[in-house]
Amino acid sequence: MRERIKVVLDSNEILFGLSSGKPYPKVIIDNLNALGKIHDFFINGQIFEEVSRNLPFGSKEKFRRLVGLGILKLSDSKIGKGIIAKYERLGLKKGDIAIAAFADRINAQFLLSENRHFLKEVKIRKFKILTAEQFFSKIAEIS
Amino acid sequence: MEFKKVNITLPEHLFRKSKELVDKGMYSNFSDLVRSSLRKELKEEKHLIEDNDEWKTLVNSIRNDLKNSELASLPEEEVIKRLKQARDRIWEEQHA
Repeated sequence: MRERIKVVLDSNEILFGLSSGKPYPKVIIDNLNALGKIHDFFINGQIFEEVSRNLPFGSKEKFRRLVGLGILKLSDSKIGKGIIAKYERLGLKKGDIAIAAFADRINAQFLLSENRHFLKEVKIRKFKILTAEQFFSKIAEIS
Repeated sequence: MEFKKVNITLPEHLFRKSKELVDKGMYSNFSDLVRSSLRKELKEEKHLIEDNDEWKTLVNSIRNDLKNSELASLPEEEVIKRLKQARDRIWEEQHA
C-alpha cells in the first residue's frame, strides 16, 4: 500500500492558493480534496491565524468554515518545550520556531512554502522544505 | 422495488470474512451484507462529494473577496513580508 505523506502547508501557500496569486499553490488549494485522499495536509493554529489576519474581514468566517470541513487538517498537537528548544538552538527566529517545531512534532515529511528564504539558513534533517511546484515533482517521483 | 441479479467475483479471504458475519447473524444472507455495504459506501461518497462542493464554493467566494482587496495588488514579496510580520506578532503574543 502507498505510504500517506504528511505535509504542512505554510500560510503563504494557502494565501497564494486562495488568491490565485501563484499557479502551483492554486492547484493545491483547488485540488486539496482529491490530494487529501492520497496524502495528509496539515496546518496548526498559528498558520490558521496568520492566514486569517491577512484576509479581508468578510473572508475570515469563510476561511474558518473552509478549515472546518476537515479537508485541510487543523492540528492542535501540543509541542513540547524540547522541540521548541531544538529549533531555538538551531538559530531560527521567533515564529519560524513554532512552524518548524510543529512540522517536526507531527512527523511531516514536507513543509510547503513559497518563501525561498524560509528556514534556508539552518539545516533541518527532520523534514524537507519545498515549494508547491517542487512538491508536485516529488510526489510524481514517489508514485 | 425492482431488483437486478449480479454475479460478483471476490478474493477468497474476503468471501470467508463476509460469510463469518452472515453466520454470526449480523446479516440475513450474503446479498443483505452486500446491499448494506453498498449503501454505506454510497452514503460516504455522497458526503465526500458534498464536502468537495462546499470546499469549492468557499474557495471561490474567498477568491472573489480577495480580488477586490488590497492584497490583490501587492507583489509576492510584500505578501510574504506581511505574513512574516503576522507570524512574529502571534509568536510574541503567545510567548510574552
